Amino acid sequence: MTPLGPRLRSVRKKKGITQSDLARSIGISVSYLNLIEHNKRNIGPALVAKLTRALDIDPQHLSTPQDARLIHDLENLAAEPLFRLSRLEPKAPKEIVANHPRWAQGILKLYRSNQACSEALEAMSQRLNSDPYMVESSHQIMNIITSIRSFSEILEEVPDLPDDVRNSMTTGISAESRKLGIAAKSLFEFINEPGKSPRSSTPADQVNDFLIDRHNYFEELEDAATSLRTRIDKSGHRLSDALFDYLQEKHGTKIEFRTPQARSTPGTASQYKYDPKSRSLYLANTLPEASARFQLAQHLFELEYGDALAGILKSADLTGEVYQGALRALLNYAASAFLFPYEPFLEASEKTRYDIQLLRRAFGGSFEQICHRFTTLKRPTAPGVPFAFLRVDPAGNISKRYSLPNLPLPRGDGACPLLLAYRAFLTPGQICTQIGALPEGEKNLYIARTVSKHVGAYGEPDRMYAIMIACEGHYIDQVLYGDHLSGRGDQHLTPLGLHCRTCSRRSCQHRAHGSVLGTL
Amino acid sequence: MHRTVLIAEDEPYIVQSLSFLLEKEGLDVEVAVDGRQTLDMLRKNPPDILLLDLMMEHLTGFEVLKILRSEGELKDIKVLVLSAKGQENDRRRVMELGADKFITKPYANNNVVESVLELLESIPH
Repeated sequence: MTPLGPRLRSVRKKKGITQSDLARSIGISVSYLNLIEHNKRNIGPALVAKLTRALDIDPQHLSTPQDARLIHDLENLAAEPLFRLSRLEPKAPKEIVANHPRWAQGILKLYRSNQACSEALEAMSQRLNSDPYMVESSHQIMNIITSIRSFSEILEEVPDLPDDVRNSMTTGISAESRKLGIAAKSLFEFINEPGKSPRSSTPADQVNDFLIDRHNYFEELEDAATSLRTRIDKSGHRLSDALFDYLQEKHGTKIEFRTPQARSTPGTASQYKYDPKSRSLYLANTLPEASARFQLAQHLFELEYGDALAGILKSADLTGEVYQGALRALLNYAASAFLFPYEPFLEASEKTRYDIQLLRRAFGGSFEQICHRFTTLKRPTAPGVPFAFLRVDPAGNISKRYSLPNLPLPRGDGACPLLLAYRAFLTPGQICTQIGALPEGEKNLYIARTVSKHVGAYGEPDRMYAIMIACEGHYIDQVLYGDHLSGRGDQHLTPLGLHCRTCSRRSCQHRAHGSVLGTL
Repeated sequence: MHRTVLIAEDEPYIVQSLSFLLEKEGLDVEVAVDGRQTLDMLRKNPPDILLLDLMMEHLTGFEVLKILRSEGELKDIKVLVLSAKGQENDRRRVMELGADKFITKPYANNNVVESVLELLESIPH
C-alpha cells in the first residue's frame, strides 16, 4: 500500500544511477530491485533505509503515511458506482501517487466536491420532488385565508365602514372563498391521486413506484398462486416435497443441493442458480427450509407464468434495470402468494393480530417472508393492515424498500439513525418496537428485528439484515406489537426523520449531517 | 409629519385590507407588487417602514431585504415581514438578513397594526 517502488525508480533515474549499480551498493540482486521498483515485493524499514542512504534522499521522499491514505482513497474511488463501467486499473493508484501525488490529491478533491454536490442535489431534489406543488398550493391557500380573515375582522370591528368599502370587502371575501374552494380541492386531489405524484429517479425507487401504483396487489398472481397450489399440494406431503416432485415430474428440473465452497473460491456465493440448458437447479444446502421452498416456488412461477409476469411488466412500460428489479419483486410476490395463500393467511393474521412468531409456526415461513406477505394483503374487498417494509444491512445499505404514501421510508445513505431498523442491530434476533413521529407529525408503529443468513462454510461471516415493517398509528390497536406502546402518551414517541439532510429537527442530538432545508 | 409605509405584496385583496388598516391609523401608504418595483420605490422615495412579502416575482423578499440592508440610505428602514412561509428556517433566515419583525400569514389585523406602530415609535425623531 505504498508508492515506494515507482518513486524509487523515478529518483534513481533522475540521479542517473543504474539498477545494477544501486543493487550492488546495497547488496541485493538486480532482479530483486526490479521487483521492488514495480511494487511486486514489499520491503521492510531496514532495506528502505539502505536504499534512501544509497540514493542520498530523505526516507519520507519514498513513502509517507499520507501516500498510503491517498492510495487507499483512490482505490476506494474506483469502487464507486460512477466508475463501474470505466474499468479503472487496480494498480494505477500507486503509480499515480508515486509519480503525480498532486494530481492524485486533485482527483480526490474533484471527486469529493462532486460527491458533496450530488448529495446536496439529491437531498434538495427529494424535498422539491416531494412537495413543490404542495409548497405553492399551501402558500396560495394561506394568502387567501389571510385576505378572508382580514376583511372579516374589519367588517366585524369597524362599525362606521362606508358602504362602498363594505361592499368591496364583502365582494373580496366572496371571491377569495371561491378561490379557496378550488385551491383546497386541487390540493386534496393531488394528495389522493398517486398518478400525479412526482416520479422517482433511481431504479430501486421506480420499482417501488411501480408497486405503489399497483397498491402492491396483483390479483392475477394471487389467482395463479391459488391454481398452482391446488395442483401441487398433496395431502399428507410436505409442501417442499410436493414442489420438489412437481418440478422434477412436470418440468424435468434436476434439483441439486450443493455445499457452498470455501471463501477462497471466488464466484461461489450464489445461493441459487439455474442452468436452463441442463435444466439443473442448484440450491445451497445451507439454505433454511423456508428459503429453499421460497426459491423453488419462485422458480416454478418463472417456468409456468413467465409470460404473465412479462405481460404485467410490459403493461407498466418498464425497461432495463427497473424491469429486472420489478420482475424480482413480482417473483417474490408470487412465491409469497403461493406459500401463504391470501384468505387463510389474512384470517390467521387478523386472528393473531399479526403475531409474526405464531404465523411463522402456522405457515412455515421465515420472519422476512411473513413480514413481506403482510405488505401484499391489499385485496380491495378484504384488505389487511397496510404495512411498509424495509430491509437494511448493518452498513445502512437498503436492499428492499416498500413505502406507503403516508408512511415514507429512507432511500439510502444518511438516513435517520433513530429509525428502528438501525436500532435493531443493538439487540440481534429480538423483535423491537417503536412509536415514531415524523417531523410532519404522523405517528407510526415500527416493528423490526435482525435476521442472519448463512452464506458459506465455517468461518464465512453470515449476511445480516434488519427487517422492519411499519404501519400508521391509527392501526395500532389491530397489531399485537402496539399493545404496550399505545395510550402511553407522547413521552414514548421517538422523534424521527427520514434523512438528516432533509430533516427539519434542527436541535436533534443524533444529527449526522447538516440540513439543507435552510438553504431553500 | 406624515409617516409612510410601503406595502410590498402581490395579492390585491391583502393589499386592500392592509391599506385600509394603515390609512385608518393616519399613515401614508404606497404599494409595490413585485420585488423589482419594491426596490425602485424604496430608492426613489424611502418610506419609514416596509411591509414585505417573501414570495414575489422578479426579486423575492429575501433578495429585497439583502439588497436593502446593504445600501447606505436604505439600511435603516424598518422592515416587517408578512409571509405565508412560516417555517422556522424562513423566520431565522429573514431575521438574520436584518428584518425587524416577522409575522406569519394568516395574521390578526391588530397584530400587524400594533407591530407597525411599535416599529414607527422606535424610529428616532
